[in-house]
Amino acid sequence: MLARTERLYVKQYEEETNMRVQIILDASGSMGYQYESKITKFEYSAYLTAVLAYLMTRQQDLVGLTAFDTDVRLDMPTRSSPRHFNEMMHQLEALQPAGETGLAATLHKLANRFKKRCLIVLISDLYDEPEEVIRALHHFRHRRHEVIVFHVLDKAEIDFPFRETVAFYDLETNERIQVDPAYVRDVYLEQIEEFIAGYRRACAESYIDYVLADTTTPYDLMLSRYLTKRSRL
Amino acid sequence: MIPLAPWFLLATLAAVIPVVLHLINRQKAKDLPFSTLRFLRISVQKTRRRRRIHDALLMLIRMAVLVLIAIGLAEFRLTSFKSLWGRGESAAVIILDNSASMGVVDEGRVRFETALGAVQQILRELPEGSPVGLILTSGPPFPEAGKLHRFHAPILEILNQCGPTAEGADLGLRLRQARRLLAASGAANKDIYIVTDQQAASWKAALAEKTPAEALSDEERKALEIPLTIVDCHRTPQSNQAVREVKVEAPVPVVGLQGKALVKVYNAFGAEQSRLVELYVDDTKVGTSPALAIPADGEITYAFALPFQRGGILRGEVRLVGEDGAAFDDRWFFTLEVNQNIPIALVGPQRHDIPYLDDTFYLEHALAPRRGTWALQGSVLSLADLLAQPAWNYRVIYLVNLPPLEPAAAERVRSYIASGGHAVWICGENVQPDAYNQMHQQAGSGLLPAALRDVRAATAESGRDSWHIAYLDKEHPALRPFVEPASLYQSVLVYKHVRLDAGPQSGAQVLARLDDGEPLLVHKSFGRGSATLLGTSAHTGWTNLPLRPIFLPLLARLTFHLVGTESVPRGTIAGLPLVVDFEPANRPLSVEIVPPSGAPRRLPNKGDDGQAAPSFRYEETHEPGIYTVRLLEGTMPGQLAYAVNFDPEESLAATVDRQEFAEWAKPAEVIFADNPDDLSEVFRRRREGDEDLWPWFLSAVLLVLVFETFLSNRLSPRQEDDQAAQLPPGMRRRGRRPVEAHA
Repeated sequence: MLARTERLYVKQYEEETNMRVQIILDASGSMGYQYESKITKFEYSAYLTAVLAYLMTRQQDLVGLTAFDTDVRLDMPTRSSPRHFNEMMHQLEALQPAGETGLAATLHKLANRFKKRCLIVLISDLYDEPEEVIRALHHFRHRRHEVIVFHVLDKAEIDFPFRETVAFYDLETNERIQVDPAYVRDVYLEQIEEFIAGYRRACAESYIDYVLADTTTPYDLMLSRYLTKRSRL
Repeated sequence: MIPLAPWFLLATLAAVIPVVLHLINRQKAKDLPFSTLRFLRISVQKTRRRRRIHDALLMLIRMAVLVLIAIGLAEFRLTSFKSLWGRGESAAVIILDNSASMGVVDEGRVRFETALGAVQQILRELPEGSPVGLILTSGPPFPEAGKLHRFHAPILEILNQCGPTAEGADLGLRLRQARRLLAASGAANKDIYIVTDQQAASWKAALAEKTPAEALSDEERKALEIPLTIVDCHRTPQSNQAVREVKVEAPVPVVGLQGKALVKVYNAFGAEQSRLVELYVDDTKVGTSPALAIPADGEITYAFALPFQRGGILRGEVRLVGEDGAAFDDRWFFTLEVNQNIPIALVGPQRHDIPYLDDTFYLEHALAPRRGTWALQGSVLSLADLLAQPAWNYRVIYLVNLPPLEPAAAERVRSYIASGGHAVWICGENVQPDAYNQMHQQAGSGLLPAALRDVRAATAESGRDSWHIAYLDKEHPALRPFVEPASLYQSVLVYKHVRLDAGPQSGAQVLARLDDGEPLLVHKSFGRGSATLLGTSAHTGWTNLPLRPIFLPLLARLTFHLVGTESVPRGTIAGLPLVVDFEPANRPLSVEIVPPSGAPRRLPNKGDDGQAAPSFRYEETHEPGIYTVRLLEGTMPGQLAYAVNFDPEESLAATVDRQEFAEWAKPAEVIFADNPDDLSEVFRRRREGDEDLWPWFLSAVLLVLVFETFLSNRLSPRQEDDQAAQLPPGMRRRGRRPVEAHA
């Protein structure tokens, strides 16, 4: 251009980045819980996964999906084709929550496997030892991955609205315990709050985005958090 | 502590209900899935101890509620705490009501027999050796009554001899006596049993008076706390009617005349009854009433004609014909002294040589005609003659134109008036107002009905030659027939008279006035006696009254009236003393009492100074009938008759209100025994006390239920938790660090 016109030009380009996003979905038995809500935590999480994946595919981002309980049950690599998206939806539809949770161990395993830097989206109820889970999330950060944690709980798990004496059984272990809510409610609420607060605090310290959601939370909130995160990358 | 309904104790087994319900509810706990039990396990561990304590506490409370209800239904009674370790020595006083009403037939049995059976039961209940006393309410005194005895023999002896009387009862008085008796006893436990028919009349005096507590000594106040057991012998009485009063109306009780006996018959039954009444005089029937319809709980009055056929003491009796629930009140006695004639004294100044000039001339001829039979017997006397004999020889004394009396004579007249005699003062030339007033004052103002002011005469200077009577008291029984026609008294002219000071302050009754309002005839009562004063003379010098047609009938009616008012019935109520007052001049040194049955008793009538006493008192009037009192060793021997009747209050059917009585008896605890034939329940309550525990148990149940509710609410989720549930975690409880959801 200089030779032809003898004038100086500055050319500006906008580079489009193809971001790599790996969604890690908790498919353990505890995710199958629902109480007086229309959908289970797993269903809510699956819809959230589908929404995110759709958005990412439309943005030409590479999306992968990993589902786990004590081990990885579904592992789809990151791609951006519509076909991949369709396959992902099929797989997601076929997935059912079952088994116990091995969250920390699975996350460590996955952290070792994801070589390329990517955005890790963890959707789970985080029912594992919080210290172990936090350590596993640190592992991702150590590998220079960006992490968003969507902490999905049922409203009943947060509010504990039970009144009469109830024999609860664990969805993962089938263990039973008889509880008089009148007595345990206060202590339970303290425990669950401490549990949530622990994750929130640890995530903030590790620059991990943490979003608490119950199964009635609108999805746009989740998407906005994702888009905000992506815009920073 | 004894349950009255022990079978309800089985209900204590209901205490296991909360345990069973707990176990059932535990098994029926709803199964629910939960995402993880990790927090629940921690919560359960942390609250397990508290929950167990609360559960156990609630369980115990609910079991306690059921047990308390069962115990309450079993009607436990705590007697006295003393009964838990023994009662110690007991002392009791039995007040046995033997008043007339205890003679009523109740459900085929005389109340007193029922009462005796109850007393026997009480004695059997009291251990031999415990002090026990018996107080009878009425009748002749027994030496051993009113004392505490350690053995029952003296009391049984009294019970064998006593019976229902014709007297009333003052149970309040006897209760005070019983309290005094027990206050002196050192026994640990004291009881008063009152075996009575609870007739309202027996408690009337006691309930009317209430001694303020501060006026009592400590000992008396303590005695007020002695518990009372009222053994109520009143059942359903038979139909009963009673003669409650006989009133004899005899204006002039003189032979040949006639009076009236007004008989009041009372029906104590709840329906109208028809009865015949008979009148007896000297044991001879003189009249029978027609069948009298007596209203329920009401009375009727029937008037018998009572002829006076002979002089002396008339002994009358009224009887109900036929039988009813009580015999004691079917007879009523009365007496009346019928005069052969009425002695009257006409006392004047010295007699004149010409008879018709005597001041008493017209009076003598008016009151004591010389021909035919006449009830009045007039005697013309000088003052000296009168003083020489007992004034009571005369029923009325006319004191005509006398100069002022010497003090001794004045005292005799005053005494005569004070003891029931009637003096009629008639003025004249010898009457000096100032001297009369002085005489009246010296005699204690008991001689004249009014003070005398001055003598007034109609003269030419005063512009008139006479006054006439313009007013007669038409309400006065003796003057009523002369009110019409007015000319009868208005034709009486007065030329001279003594003006009388008969204002309202004098207390005198003006019977006749002159046309200018000056009193002419005044009267005043002094107890049973009276004094009457005519302001003008009984001679034609001062008035034309002796010449007028009204003179004779007026004097006669006035005299009859005065004599009739003296005729007060002599009698008393059985049990009350019979008091005979004597006039000073005729006080006997001894009297002889002749009761209705039994031998005559001669009794002295001497005071402490050995002289004859002014009155005689006879206490033993337990038997209804006519008591004759003969005056012996007196200046004028004679005899009187007194009727003694049953207490008319005793025929009243009303009983005392229990609530009112219990309130009155406070602080003493009162137990009412409704079944006098079986006092075992009363003895049990008395022995063990009567603290009904079920109200306490009920209160305990309510308290425990309130506590249980409070505890349950405290343990259940609170409202604020429900509100907090609407908040996101971390903002629910004050003091916790807020955690924003979705942040």
